[in-house]
Amino acid sequence: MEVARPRDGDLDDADDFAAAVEPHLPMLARVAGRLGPPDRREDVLQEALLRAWAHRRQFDPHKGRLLSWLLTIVANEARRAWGRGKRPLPIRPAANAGETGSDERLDLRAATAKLPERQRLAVDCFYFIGLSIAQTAAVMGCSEGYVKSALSDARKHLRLELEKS
Amino acid sequence: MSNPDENLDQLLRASGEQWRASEPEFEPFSVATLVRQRGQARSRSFSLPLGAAASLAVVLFVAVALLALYSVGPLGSHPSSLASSTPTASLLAVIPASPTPPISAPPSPPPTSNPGLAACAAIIGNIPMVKVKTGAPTIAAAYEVTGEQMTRYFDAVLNQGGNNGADWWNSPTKTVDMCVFDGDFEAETPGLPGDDTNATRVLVVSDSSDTMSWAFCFSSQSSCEISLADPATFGATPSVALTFSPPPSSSAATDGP
Repeated sequence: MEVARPRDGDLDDADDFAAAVEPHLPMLARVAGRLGPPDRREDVLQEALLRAWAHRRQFDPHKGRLLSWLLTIVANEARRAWGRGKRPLPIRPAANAGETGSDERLDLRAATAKLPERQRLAVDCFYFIGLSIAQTAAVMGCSEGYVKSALSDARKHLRLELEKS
Repeated sequence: MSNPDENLDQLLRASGEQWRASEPEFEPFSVATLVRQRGQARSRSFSLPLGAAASLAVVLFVAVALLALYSVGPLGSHPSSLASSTPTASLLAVIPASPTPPISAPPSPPPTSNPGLAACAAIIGNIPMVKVKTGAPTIAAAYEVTGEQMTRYFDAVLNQGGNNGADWWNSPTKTVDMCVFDGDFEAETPGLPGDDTNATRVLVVSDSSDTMSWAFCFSSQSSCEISLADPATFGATPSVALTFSPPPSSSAATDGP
């Protein structure tokens, strides 16, 4: 027998909300881990989910997918977590912790740290968190075209930086 | 011959995979339990019946009106506590274009030799991470300080310990410019739908390698945490320098630029 799953828009009840959100938890946790302060991944994620729950009536399934909406909230909560929420963007060295290996990758880490904020956020979301272009656009609050352009500019910057080193 | 852009793309993807593999494993939890336990309590604490909200609004309006009525005279004839505690001559206000200058701006004209002011004036037309919605931004404060002084400001005023990757954070002697801009901004940061992104004040720190917005005050906030005080006035022990009053000890004064 097929179990009825709640649609994206059915979020009023706690169980329906949980059923809709829980499949996305691993991805949301990754966003919290990459964009939030070190060791605060779970805090950021839980705070974000509580905010999503409090604002659940603002979610409109006709305007976008639930995951995109949740990604935006988690990214915003990660930003808040850096000093009561007013640090605008993530985080260079700490977010790259865990990347070890060849000199090439260490150079890449250093070069990534020098990127302008928006380009770095695009790189973080697309390459490190593993979001799609559309999801990255949702997190950044911009168009998909802007994300592609930011990624292209970022690669250009990185190439120049790596050539220097 | 290989395409360098493709190589870089592959390198980035490989680094991303490595980072994801290094992340601690995520332990699922019950979202339903979370929102039942903490979400309901939060909803209760913030909900207000419509009638009560209207009554509260009327009471607040009357209180503000009375306060304004009784405070106009004294403010006009005596210096405010904020103005009197503004500690240094390097606090600058340059705001001719603003229709409503910030009340905390000191009345005296700025000294022209301040290098912090020059640096902040240079970026006022291109403040990172914000869109100017209306009017012209104004410089509410401009200081040239050291990395150490700047980090003390963050610790004391914004309670932000930890590094955002800026070179100056771990460079006590590096010179940076701290700029506080007032205006009608829209913060270009990821925002929660329905949340306020209308900023009234933005703190920018600029050095030779980077210019970055670090903090915003949003229009819905009841108070702005970005102080106009000179970072040099915050003591060397961040945990005790939590007020905007003059420096707690004589040693703090010697740290000034």
